[in-house]
Amino acid sequence: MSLLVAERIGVQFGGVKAVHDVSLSLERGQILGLIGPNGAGKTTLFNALTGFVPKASGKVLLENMDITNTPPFELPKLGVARTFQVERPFEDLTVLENVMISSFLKHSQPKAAKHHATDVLEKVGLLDRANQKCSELNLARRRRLEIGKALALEPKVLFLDEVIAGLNPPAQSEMIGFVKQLSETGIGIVMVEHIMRVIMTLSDRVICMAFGEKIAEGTPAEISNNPVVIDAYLGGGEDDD
Amino acid sequence: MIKNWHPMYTLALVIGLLALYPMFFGQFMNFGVATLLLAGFALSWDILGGWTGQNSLGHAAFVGVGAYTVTLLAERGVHPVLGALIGAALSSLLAWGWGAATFRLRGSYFTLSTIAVAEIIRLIILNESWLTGGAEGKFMPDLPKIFGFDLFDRKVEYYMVLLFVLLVLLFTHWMRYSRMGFYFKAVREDEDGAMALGVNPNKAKQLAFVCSAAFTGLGGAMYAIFLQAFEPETFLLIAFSIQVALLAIIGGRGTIYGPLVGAFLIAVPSEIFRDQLKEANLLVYGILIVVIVIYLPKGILGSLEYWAYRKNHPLEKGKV
Repeated sequence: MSLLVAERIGVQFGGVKAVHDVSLSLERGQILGLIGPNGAGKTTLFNALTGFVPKASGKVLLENMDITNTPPFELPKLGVARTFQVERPFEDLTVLENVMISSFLKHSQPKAAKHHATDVLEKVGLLDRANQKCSELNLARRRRLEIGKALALEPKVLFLDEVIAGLNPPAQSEMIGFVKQLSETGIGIVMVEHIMRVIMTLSDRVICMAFGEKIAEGTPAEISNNPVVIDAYLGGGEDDD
Repeated sequence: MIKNWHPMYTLALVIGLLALYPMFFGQFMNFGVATLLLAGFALSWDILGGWTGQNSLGHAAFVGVGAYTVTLLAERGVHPVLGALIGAALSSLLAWGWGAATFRLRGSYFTLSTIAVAEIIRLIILNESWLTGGAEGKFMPDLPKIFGFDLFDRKVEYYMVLLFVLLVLLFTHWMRYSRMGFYFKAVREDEDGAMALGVNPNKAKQLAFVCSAAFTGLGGAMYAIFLQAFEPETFLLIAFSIQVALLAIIGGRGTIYGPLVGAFLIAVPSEIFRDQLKEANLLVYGILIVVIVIYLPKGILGSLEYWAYRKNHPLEKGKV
C-alpha cells in the first residue's frame, strides 16, 4: 500500500487546463521531486492535492483512504501537511505562537501545545527567536518557521513548495540536510524546486511537468538525460520539429 | 517589570478601581452606567472584531434583541434575570444563522453584509408593532427586586453592568490562552494559512460571532432596564454599531482591555466638553478619532503593547 497515490489529477480554471491527467505515487520515507519550467502547473498541482483548489477530475488516496474531496483544514488531521511558496507566517504573532497553532492539532491543552511547539522550534533551530514577531524574521528563518509549522502537525506526507530556492548557499546546504533527515524519519515528501542540483541530490524519483502535463518521470539520472526534459527547459527550436 | 505578575492581578485591579466609582462620583451615576455599558458592548464586539478580524457594523441588532426580549418577557411576568439570559440565547441563535449565511464573504464584504442584516432586524422591529410597539417603543414594567436590590437604582445597575464587564473580561482572558483564542488569531492573520494548519476558519468565526452576540445581548437587556423606556431608534441605528466598533478599534483590538480604555477615553472628554462646546462636542470626538487612527493605528493599548515589545526586542541594525 502506497502512502499517497494521485490518479489522473485535472485542474481547470475556466477553459484553461492548468493541470491535465497527472498521476503520482509516494512511499514512506521517499522524496519525490517535482520540476518544470515556470507556469508548468507545479504549484497548482500542489494546491489541488492539498485541497486548496478544486479538482476537475482524478482521485487522491492516502493509505487507501479517499481524500479527493476532503476540505483543506481536515487534511492535517489525516496526516497531510504543506508549506506555501510564499511563506505565510501569522505576522503579528510570535514565532512560538505560530508553531503552537499547529501543535494544538494534537495537543489541545495550551501547556502541552507550548511544550510541543518548543521542541519543534529546537528542531528547526528557531528556539532563540521564540518570542520574536514573525514579521521580523529573515527569509531563511521564515522558511524554517514554515517547515516547523508543518512539522508540528506531525504529518505522514509533507508537501514542500520551493523551500530552498532564494536561500544563500550555506543556508541551502543546511536546508538540504534537514529535508534529508526528515525523510529518514519516515515522512513521505513531495517537493517542488527550481534548483536542479537540489532536486537531483535529494529526490528518489523526479516528475517533470510542462504545460500542465507530466512529460517525464524517473530517477534523477534518467531525468537529467531525458531529451524531452532538456527540450522543455531549453525550449525546443521550431526547426527541430 | 514586576516578576510573576499574573494576568488575573490586572483584572482584579481594573475591576477593583471601577468598583470604587460610585463612591467618588455618586452624582454622575447615569454617566457611569452608560459608559460602562458601552465598554461592555465594545469588549463583546472585540471577541469577533479584534480576535478573528471580522468587522461587524451590525452589533446594534444584538443589543436590540436583548433589550426587546427582556422587556417583552417582563411584560408577561418573566423574571428579568431569566429574560436577560433568554435575550442572550436568542442573540447567539441569531448570530449563528447570520454567520452561516454571511461568513462565506471575506473582509469588507462581510462588514457590508452585517449592515444589511442589522437593517433588516431594525425594520422588522419597527414594523411588527403588534409585538414590539413599533416606532413608539417600549416601557419597562415594574421589575421584582433581586435579593432586596431595586433594579432601577443607578448604583445597583452600575454593579450589575460591572458584573457583565467582568464576565466578558473573564471570558476573554480564558480565550487568550486557549486553543480557541489561538485559532481565532490564526484566522485573523491569514485564513488560508490557518486552513493549512487544520483550522476551519468558518467554524472559528461562527464560534466567535455566537459568543460575541451572547454577551452583547446580555448587555442589551441591561441597557433596556437602565433606559426604562426606549424606541427602535435608540440603539438600532447603524450609528450605534459604528460607535461600538470605533471604541474597540481606538482602544486597541485584540488586546483584552483595549475596548474598555477606548470607551472611557472617548466618553470622558465628550461628557466634560458637552456643556461648554454644545454641538462642537462631536468635533472633538471626530478629531480624537482621526488623530488616533493616523498616529496609533494599533489603537491605544495596541500601540503601548508594541512599544513594550520593541523595548524588549530592539531591531537589529544592518540585519534583514
